[in-house]
Amino acid sequence: MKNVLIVEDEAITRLMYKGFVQKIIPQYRIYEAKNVLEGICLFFDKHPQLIILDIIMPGYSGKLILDILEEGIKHKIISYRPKIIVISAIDTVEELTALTNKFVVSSVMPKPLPFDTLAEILKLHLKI
Amino acid sequence: MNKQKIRFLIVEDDEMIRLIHKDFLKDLYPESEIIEAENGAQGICHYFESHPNIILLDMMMPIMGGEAFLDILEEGHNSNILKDKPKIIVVTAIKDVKELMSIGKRFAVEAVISKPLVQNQLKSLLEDWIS
Repeated sequence: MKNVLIVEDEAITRLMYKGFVQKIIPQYRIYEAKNVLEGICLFFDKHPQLIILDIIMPGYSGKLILDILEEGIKHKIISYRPKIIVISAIDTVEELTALTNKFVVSSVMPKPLPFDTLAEILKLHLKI
Repeated sequence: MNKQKIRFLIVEDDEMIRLIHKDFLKDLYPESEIIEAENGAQGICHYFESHPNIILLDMMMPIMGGEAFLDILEEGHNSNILKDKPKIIVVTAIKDVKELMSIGKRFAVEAVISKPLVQNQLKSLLEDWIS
């Protein structure tokens, strides 16, 4: 079974991403996390091939999951690499660059999300 | 808990302290498996990949501390993603009583022991759990 994990605190935005993902890759099962802590647990439980990740969330930032995955992959504790698409309203260049430099991040997308671009990126990363 | 099947996870950034913990556990339970992590991020990966029974957790570490480690476990348990409940022993240099009390109340935390580690305390705790 192929899985997608959506980590986003706003229910309405989650629903929007879900509908969109369903349309592009209907064969994937979708899991949703309302914060990064839940996202981390679902990542390890469901081993998604793709993660759509919001960065600015109440409590812990989405960066926590990136830190954990980088440590896990670097030290060979985690044996596979999911594709991670960061969707973020961050607009300072420094922060964006820092995110892009994280090796686990496949793409960084602005928020609000241009769906056409996301469709292209999904097709590219998932080779569909 | 059965002696042969015990899996310990040590989450501690100080290499020397990790070694001391490891030697101590190995002496007490030579047949156990001992996994080591240098920070909370590695620790959480090992936790999910290996499902240790007993975790020795430091609180102050680079990249990710013990607080976030406990928060992740708590959230996983509350949203029914986590099925097992490990026994966590927090080993910390924190001296503030209020802070220590609040750590003691966290999910899966069975004991809070001060650092430097009093090995007799740890030994008697473990002996209660492991037959």
